[in-house]
Order: sequence, then structure tokens, then C-alpha cells
Amino acid sequence: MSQILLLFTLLAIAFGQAAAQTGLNIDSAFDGRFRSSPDAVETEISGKTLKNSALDTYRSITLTEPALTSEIEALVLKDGAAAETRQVRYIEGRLYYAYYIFKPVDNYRRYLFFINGFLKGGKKMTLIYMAGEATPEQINKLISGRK
Amino acid sequence: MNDNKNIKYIEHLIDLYFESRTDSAEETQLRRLLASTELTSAKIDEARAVMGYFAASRAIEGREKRKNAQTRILPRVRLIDIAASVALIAAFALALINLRPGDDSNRCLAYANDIVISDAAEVMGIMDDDLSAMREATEDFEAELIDQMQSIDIDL
Repeated sequence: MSQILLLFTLLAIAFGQAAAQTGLNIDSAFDGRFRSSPDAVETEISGKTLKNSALDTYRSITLTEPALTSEIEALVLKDGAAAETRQVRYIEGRLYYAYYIFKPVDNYRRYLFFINGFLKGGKKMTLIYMAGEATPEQINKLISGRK
Repeated sequence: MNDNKNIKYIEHLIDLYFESRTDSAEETQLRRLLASTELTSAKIDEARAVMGYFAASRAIEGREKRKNAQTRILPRVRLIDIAASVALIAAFALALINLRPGDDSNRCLAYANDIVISDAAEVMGIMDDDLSAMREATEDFEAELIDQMQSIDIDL
């Protein structure tokens, strides 16, 4: 009996650890692999800094090397399957633009944005993950305030 | 005549028993005979009384031993079970809290080429650039979508 309970406890702890992540496939892109790359910039913002935006997590990766983009593209495509709202555009069979809004949990929302500028002659790929109580309208305001 | 023979045989077993010379088969046979026979003699009655007492004592002793064993083992088992149950409930509670994957920590960092940028203004500047890219891309997407809708209208 005790051994069964111990097993369930370990499973529950493992479950807790898993749930602590964003729950998206792009988690693996934020595991630190790009931090040492000269062709990447990763940001990690959370807490007080974001309080005016109704977000509690903001993470992004910008890549300036086209060869690195396919891995992130694959992760974003996988996450798209679970999104509640999708805006997607492909260029020549490659994912060019994706904006996903995931189903909220207790008013907690997650947003994923991807743009591969290389496919249109640009010089960078940008991946943004945002999470918090911000509504899609607040996110629109947040991005439209940037000129 | 037969009764006498039987009495003698039982008394013989009784003698062996009290001299500790019976094997387990003989002891079992003696107990069975004492329990079932209606034959009596001073020795048989005495043995029946003594062995009945021992049997009763052994039964009581056995019950007490089992009871003591239970009272010794049960608290230990129950403590472990209770501890595991508490840990289980706590772990599930934490997991449920974590289902809402909020991040309450205060971080404002950027990483580039193995360098950690902790200057908030610089990090927010990178965030501004990211969001500008998002704005431009979203506007382009919406403009193209409107174009496509209009071309569908014209075709119709």
C-alpha cells in the first residue's frame, strides 16, 4: 500500500514539474540552447516589469541565421495544432507568419507569435511567447503602441 | 476388555507426553483421543484438565501475540501511509496550482552570444523591437487578408 502511494506521489511530483512549463512545444526552444549563439538573442521578462501590460511572462528569441530557423518552425507548427485561434501564412511551403491564441485557463491566456522574415528577404526570425491575463484586445494595443 | 486396553494405551501416551517423549504424531493422537473419548481414569482426567488448560492458554497466548504484533506494526504502517497520503495530496495541489503556468518571479534579462544583459532599459528595447516586428507582420497579414477578401468580392 505504502509503495503504491509512494509511486503515485512521485508521479504527481513529475506531473507538477511538467505543468510548471508553458505546456507548449516551444518550451524546448527556451531551454538555453540559443543563449551562447552569436546569431541569437533571447529575452526573458516576468513579474513587475510587465504589470502594465497585464502579462506575467514574456519570452522571445530572435535569430539572424536562417539555418537555425527550421527547428523553431517545426515546434511552432506543432503548437498550432492546440491553438484556439490561428492566423497563419506560408511562403513556398514554409511557415512565414503565425499568431496563435491558446484556450484560456481561468482567464490566463497564452499567445505565440512567429515571423520568419528570411522568407521575404528580411534579416531575422522572431518568436514571441506571452502569457498572463491580457485579452487579445490588450495584446493588440500592446503591439500597436510600437512604431 | 477393549476399554481397558484403550485406557492403558491412552495412559501410556500420557506418560510419554509428560516425559516429553512423544513425537508430534503421537501428541496429536493423544489430544484427539482426550477430546473425543468417553473413557475415564484418574490419569486421563488429570491429563485432559492439564492439556485442556495448556491448549486454552496457548490459544489465548496466540491471540495476544497476534494482537500485539498488530498493535506494533499497524501504527508504523499507518504513519507511512499517512505521510505518503499527505505528500500525495500536496503534490497534486502543487500540480493543480502549476496548471496555471504563471510566472511571479521578477526577471528582466536577455542573452546573446553567452552574454547576459541585465540592464532593464536594454532588455525592454529588445522587447520593443520584437513587438514592432510583430506589429508589422500582423499589419501585413491583415492587409493581405483584406486584399484577398476584396478580390473574392470582385470575382463574385
